[in-house]
Amino acid sequence: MKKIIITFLTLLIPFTASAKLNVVATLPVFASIAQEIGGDRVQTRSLARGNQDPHFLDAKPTFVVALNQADVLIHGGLELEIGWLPPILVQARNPNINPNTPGNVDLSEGLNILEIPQTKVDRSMGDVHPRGNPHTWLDPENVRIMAVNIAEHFSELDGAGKSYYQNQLKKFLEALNEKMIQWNQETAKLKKKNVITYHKSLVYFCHWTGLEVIATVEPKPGIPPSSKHVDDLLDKIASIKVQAIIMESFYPKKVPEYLSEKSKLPLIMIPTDVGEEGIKTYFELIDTIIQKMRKVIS
Amino acid sequence: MKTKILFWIFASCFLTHPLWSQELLAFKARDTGQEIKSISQNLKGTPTSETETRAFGPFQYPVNQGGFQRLLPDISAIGTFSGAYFSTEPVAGTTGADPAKTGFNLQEIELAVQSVIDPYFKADIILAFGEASVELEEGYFTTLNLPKGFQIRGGKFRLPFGRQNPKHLETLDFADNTLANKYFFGPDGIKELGVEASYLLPTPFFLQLQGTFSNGDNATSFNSLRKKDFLYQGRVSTSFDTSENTSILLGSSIATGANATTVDSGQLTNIIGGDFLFKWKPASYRSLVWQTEFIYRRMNSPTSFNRDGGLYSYADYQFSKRWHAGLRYDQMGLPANSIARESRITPAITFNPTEFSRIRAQYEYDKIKGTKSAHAAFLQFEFSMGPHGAHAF
Repeated sequence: MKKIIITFLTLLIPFTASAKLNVVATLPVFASIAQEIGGDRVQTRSLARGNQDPHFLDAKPTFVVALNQADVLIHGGLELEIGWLPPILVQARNPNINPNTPGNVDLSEGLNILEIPQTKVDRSMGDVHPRGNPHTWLDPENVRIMAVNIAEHFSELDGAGKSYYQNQLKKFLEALNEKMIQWNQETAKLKKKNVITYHKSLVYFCHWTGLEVIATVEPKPGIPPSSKHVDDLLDKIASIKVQAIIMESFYPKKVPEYLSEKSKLPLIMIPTDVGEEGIKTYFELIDTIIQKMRKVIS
Repeated sequence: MKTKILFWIFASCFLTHPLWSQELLAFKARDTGQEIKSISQNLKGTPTSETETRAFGPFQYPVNQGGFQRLLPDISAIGTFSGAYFSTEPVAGTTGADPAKTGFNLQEIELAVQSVIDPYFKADIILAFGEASVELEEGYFTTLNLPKGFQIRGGKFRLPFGRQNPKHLETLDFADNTLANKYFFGPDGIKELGVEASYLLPTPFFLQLQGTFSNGDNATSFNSLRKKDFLYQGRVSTSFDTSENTSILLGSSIATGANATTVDSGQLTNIIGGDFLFKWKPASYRSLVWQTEFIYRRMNSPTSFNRDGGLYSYADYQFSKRWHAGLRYDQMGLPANSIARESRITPAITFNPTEFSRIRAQYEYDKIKGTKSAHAAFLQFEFSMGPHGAHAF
């Protein structure tokens, strides 16, 4: 009998004892930033893949398992994941990562949030986010704050690694600062240039670079374009100098392709997350976006 | 005056000159240590009572920066209406929330109040309104803070038997309930007052045990008249991803309790079920669901020993962000003792203008052994208002 119990207990060991902090992030970009901060002391994975719309994931049972075994959950906040994260968090039955615990990192904390509705919102405005636009990570200034936020949570959960995390954070921020010099020079020519995007997902990028989104292919967030809206867009393109149509790969391509063909504007597919097009880090992500834009915007 | 204007023009040209802005943009390497400190302070002392004021006429009043932080629960309502045609009208009282007659039907208005209670519990209250009645559809608390893997629910809830029974009308892929669920659990499914204990095993794949202990008031299969009889029900389910885009979920459920066929002898009803779900989601707006469930009931009475079985199997294909097409097949009489052999085929097409509204057209061909075949057609409209908690897989 004793033997059986011991065998059973040893079977459980691989699932319970792990020296590294087990970090689960909703999006690959959050996971990659967390890995930079956590270094050797954490192991990260993300629930979404880079080429998925972060608003529309399935609340899969395998996600429940991942959250059940997580020491830290990192999510974007601002209701970015509201369509799928809350039910799996309850099903995961993991008190260590419940909201308002050290194991739950809401990356929207401390950010300068854009597009917080100032008047009463309703859904005739489309899929509006009452707490502001959640596509925060394409502004490196925000990522700076996210990195500090992550480091603080890691330090609280893993006190022994505090100085390690602080060191990693410092390295990351210094590298980011250096990158910023390069990026700010590269994006100088994007300033005041007009583009059309598919969804309101580039708001923070534009806030940073000064690129101007004069219209979106969606008439309202989450609402597919009608033919009238497409005509309006073509009228707009005819009246104002627009440089490009920009979209993420997971949105339907038919209408943007039609717009591009009719207006002779270039259509750029940009990644907005790590994991797409072989992108491994946040720096590579921003590099790729900027390069793609610089190719067609002048 | 003129010089002033000239000065401003000059100044603005100078400030916006590309060379100058390059200078400004060139990032001075920041003092990282100082920066971390200030961000971290900012994170800790989240400003809660910012006294920003807004002027309106001669008055100044504070602006509520946080918006509607009034600790209200999430309140939402979902309405489901349908127009229906039946070649053979359904028997009154057997339809539940399904369309009930030729003409216009109010299937259900669901009112949900959902909130976290405190660090330990959350609660969901769901009321179902018909035209002339209101019923507590569900009302339960769920623990949030038990040791890892454990959870308890208590109150009135839809029992976790199979895939179909726990679901509300608005999460179904068709306009009405499946035959097997209707015949074995009644038109509205089995929902009971009781408690559920569940455990998510610490295995690398999804493996969940659920056990419920409840009154057993379900009139279709249980509802014993004796005080000491309760309903015991359990479920084990497992799930894994077979590839990046495909997942499988397998479940098996059991329910056992005394039925109402006698006043005092405690005749038992045993129901077992097995379910299978395959989901393929190659893109954010494209997916295929194939779900199959088999339910078998043995219901004893002093005079009879009834065994009945039934299954349904359906596929639902989402071919664009807004469009779904589905095909369902129902079969009763596997075996047939107390319930007649019946087959039904149901194609449906669904259009979701947004996540908050739905229009669905559905046709049904129904054949009960020994009777004329029946046809039905529905046009269903559904709307959802307010923040309604996202649904499980």
